[in-house]
Amino acid sequence: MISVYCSYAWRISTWRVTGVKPVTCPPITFETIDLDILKSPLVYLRLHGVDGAGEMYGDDGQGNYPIALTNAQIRQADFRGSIVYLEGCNGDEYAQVFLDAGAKTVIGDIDASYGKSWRIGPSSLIGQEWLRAMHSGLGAHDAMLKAMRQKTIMRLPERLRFGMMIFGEEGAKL
Amino acid sequence: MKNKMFLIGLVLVLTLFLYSCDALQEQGLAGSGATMFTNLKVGDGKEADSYLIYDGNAQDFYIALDDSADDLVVGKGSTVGTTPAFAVDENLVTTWSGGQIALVETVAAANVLTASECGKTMFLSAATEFQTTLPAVTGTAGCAFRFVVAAAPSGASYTIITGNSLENKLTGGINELEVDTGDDGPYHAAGDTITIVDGVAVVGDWIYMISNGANWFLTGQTNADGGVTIAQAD
Repeated sequence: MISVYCSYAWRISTWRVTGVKPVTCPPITFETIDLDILKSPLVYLRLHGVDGAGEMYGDDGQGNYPIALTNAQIRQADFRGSIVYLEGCNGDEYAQVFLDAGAKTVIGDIDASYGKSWRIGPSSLIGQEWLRAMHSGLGAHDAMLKAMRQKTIMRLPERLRFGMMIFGEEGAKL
Repeated sequence: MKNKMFLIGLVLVLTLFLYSCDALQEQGLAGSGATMFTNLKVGDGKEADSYLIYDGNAQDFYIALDDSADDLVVGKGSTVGTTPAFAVDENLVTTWSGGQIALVETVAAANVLTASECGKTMFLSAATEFQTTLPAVTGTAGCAFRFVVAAAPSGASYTIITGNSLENKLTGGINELEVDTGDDGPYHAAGDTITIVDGVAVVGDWIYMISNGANWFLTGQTNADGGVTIAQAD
């Protein structure tokens, strides 16, 4: 139902948010990943995004940022029908690439997002609430609205709350 | 029982410690134009090429350690070792594979040279001739200049003088192509002024000098007798 790929440094909080043991970068990198393992109705990615980079990066927590995914390989992969949630920075930069690969909906931040390694940080909290709303049967857009109305999220500073954009089919459901 | 309580306490303390260290992190790397690394090590000591590729729209370039040759290579494209511009080997010997463009300057007015211009060729080019002042020789070991007459002096002469208030540090001579008089090949052991003489020197006459930190050793060529003179003015 959900596949998860994240930076190694964020595996614990990502696991807590998604309830799924994530594939992590490192040790997986763009060179070794089999993109078929991400093939599922909901793809949750939590990787470093860089404005204009054309790649997403992992993080070993020691200052090393291996390339986790490249735009070129995403385009060649099959994400047909998937809803893709990008928790990392600048998710919007990669939205079109996933749409090109067949994803019906992509959710990504238009700017920097902020999370934590162990605890559920702001961006993870939004992701968690959105996932809950999606599992309750709402569409991608309504699920985001519901997430944003949660008290825990409304208490966050504005810069940590606003920025998630929905690309593609807004009403897509799981 | 006591041991169990101790273990539970230890786990709680460790958990609190880890949680308290769990800082808010930006989930992106610094973008273009920003400093991403204070120190960047490329490669991990293994027998493999390590490289940086500059991925351009029309043209790529690379800087690489070609591990099979143990050379640092700068080249065109994104395949290490192919189309190199230059390579530096383990003895610091540099092999150039592409053309080299020298530093040049067309000079049309009085010019005070500094050490930051070492290596330049000056094309002396003006209808109204002028003076060039060299940097003080101390501290310039290895510094070289070349002067080429690009506009023949007319109405006045070009002069090249030493710095440091005309220090007597010019040593060397000039070859003259015309060898039919007794004053061929002017030489001076301790000069301070080179004159590229009005009405005699022609386009193409040249002077080269290099410093060893104590003297400017010069050589050169002029077409006519007396086209270039070397003197100690003071």
